[in-house]
Amino acid sequence: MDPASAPHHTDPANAVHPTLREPVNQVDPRARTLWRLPPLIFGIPATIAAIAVAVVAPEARAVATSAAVVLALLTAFYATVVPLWRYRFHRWEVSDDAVYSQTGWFVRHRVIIPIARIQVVDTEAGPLEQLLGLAKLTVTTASSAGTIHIAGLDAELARTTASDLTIRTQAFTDDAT
Amino acid sequence: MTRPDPVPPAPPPPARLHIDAPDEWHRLSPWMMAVGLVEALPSLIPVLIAVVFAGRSAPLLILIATVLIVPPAAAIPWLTTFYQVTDEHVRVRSGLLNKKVATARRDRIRSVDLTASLVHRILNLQKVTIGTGGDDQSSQVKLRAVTLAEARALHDELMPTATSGAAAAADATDGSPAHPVAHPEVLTRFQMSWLRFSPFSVGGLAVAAAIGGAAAQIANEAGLFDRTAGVVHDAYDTVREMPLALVATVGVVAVIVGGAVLSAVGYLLSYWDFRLTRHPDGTLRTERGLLTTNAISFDENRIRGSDLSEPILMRPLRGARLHAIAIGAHKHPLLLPPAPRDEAMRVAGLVTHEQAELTAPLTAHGRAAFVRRLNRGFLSGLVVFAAIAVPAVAGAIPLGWIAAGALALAASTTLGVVRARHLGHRVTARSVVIAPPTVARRRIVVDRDGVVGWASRSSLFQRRAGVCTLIVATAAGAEHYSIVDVDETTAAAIPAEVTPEWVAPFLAR
Repeated sequence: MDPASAPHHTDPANAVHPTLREPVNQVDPRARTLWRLPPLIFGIPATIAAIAVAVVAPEARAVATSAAVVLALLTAFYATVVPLWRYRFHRWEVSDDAVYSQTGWFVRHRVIIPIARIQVVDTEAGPLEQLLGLAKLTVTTASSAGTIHIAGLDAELARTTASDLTIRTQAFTDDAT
Repeated sequence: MTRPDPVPPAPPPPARLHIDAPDEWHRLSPWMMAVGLVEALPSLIPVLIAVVFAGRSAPLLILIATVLIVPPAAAIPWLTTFYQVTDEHVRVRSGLLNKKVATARRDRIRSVDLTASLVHRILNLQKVTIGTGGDDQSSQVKLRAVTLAEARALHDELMPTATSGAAAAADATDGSPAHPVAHPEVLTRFQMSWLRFSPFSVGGLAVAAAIGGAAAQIANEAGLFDRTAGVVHDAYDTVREMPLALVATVGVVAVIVGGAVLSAVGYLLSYWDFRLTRHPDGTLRTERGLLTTNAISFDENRIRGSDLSEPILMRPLRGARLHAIAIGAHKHPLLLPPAPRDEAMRVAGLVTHEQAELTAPLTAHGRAAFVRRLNRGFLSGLVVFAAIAVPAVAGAIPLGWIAAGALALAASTTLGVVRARHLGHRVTARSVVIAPPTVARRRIVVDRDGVVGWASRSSLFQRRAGVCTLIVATAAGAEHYSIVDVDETTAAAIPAEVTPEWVAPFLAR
């Protein structure tokens, strides 16, 4: 690859050159439930607490009522719109040579790391994830910017992917920096 | 005491490092107690003030308490800290109740750094920091106070491929840090003329402004301004009668002059006798410092790029500062303090061989990136302007302040343009060159070999503008270097060009 013969990056208007496509795989549909639960778990009690304050403390009623309304709206937004948005964005793919992920909702975050540079692969499942049979796959390199977190994978799929990646990483023996 | 042969292949060195048996431990220099006390002083000032105040009512009690507390506080760290250097590792164990053992395997040692504060230097001591490959504090073993000779012996013996230090004895008499390996090649060395770059640092201005502000505050708190008699009051009255513009001008000039002086002093303290040397074993070494000396060494093979910075105030003088981007214990080793740009280029040519990358013209990032910088500059200026204009119109502060608000708005917008003009990137045969949107002109060069991944971030606003921020992931330096606000095509083209073998499958057909 001779960079001198490939000056395309200097000409953004040159439409012949492609953009990065999205990764192929979506995460498990149960991930939507996973993302809905925390806002519900924290948002509903907080809203109820604010309503309770509004009822029992007349002097703070205006503040508490507006807080309750804001909390209810935020909970609704984070429990309905955000999980669907996330679900649309969360994608991942493992190719022959690299792992590619796309996450986020307001900020879209994409990471590509070559399998040759992978240092650690692990899976992790919190209580909610265990309840739903999901797991999070984390792939790290020597760079803090080159870390992939794929949340909301089927637990079994996460485990097989992790062990597959671990085996393939072992083919590379240098210090991956 | 037995003295087995030092590590092969080094010949028996003149700097004699004692190799310990597994159960043999030493204490650090007893002077560590003095060093520890002096180092603890700044954090003890509130306690001392409290003691003095309390001491007024019960002087004897305080005296007894001091006598009972201070000696053990100084002696216990020394009494409970032991170290050993065996064939396998360097180990420090410390702590009375909370015992801690730090171990550095000798084959993993990547850096041996010597620092000496003024107290260390008076007592002829050095602090030795031994770094293994890792990035964090936990991968370091620190010996807080050892004798100069011992420090040099440690450095000579422990550096991964160190040759014996015949030159070590040469400057054993002065207080400067060790200069241990034979025939180092001096790549650059401090010159007094570099001092002309020191006043042009924003840091000095900030410190001067902070000191001025704090002094005014303290004077105010102490009631200096409220005293009914005295010179200060007269001076304050005089100041109050002067027009605002004059006061502002005098203040600005005072801050600039004070900042320049402070910067020059700071520059001398930090970079006096700066030397960058290359040693036969392939390590680079920098030594610097007027009162506190600092000597660090790092492996040239672990450098993955360079980082040239030309602060805006230094630009008219053609000054620059150069860091390397490296992996290991020192991720941003300083290659050159603020100095002539040509010297920075010469050093870059000698060390990272990247002058071409540091001077090459860059690809600009287009209209969307420019507009985003301009908007940010304008909007943050507008916030300041509004914060001044609203109370001014309402009558809380003099109307004249609106001019200052307008000035802030203009300055902020101009800086937005400056930042936009600095933004750029370029891909060369060996590196990715990044110019971030900063007020200082910066060039970051990351070697293609150093790229361990790519990331991109795009907010909703960026997506609407059709741009994203491409991030080079590397193990070296800051670990992430952002190419801000490139269009999607470029954000795909750069990774595809630098690392086609694993990025190509993800390009849209």
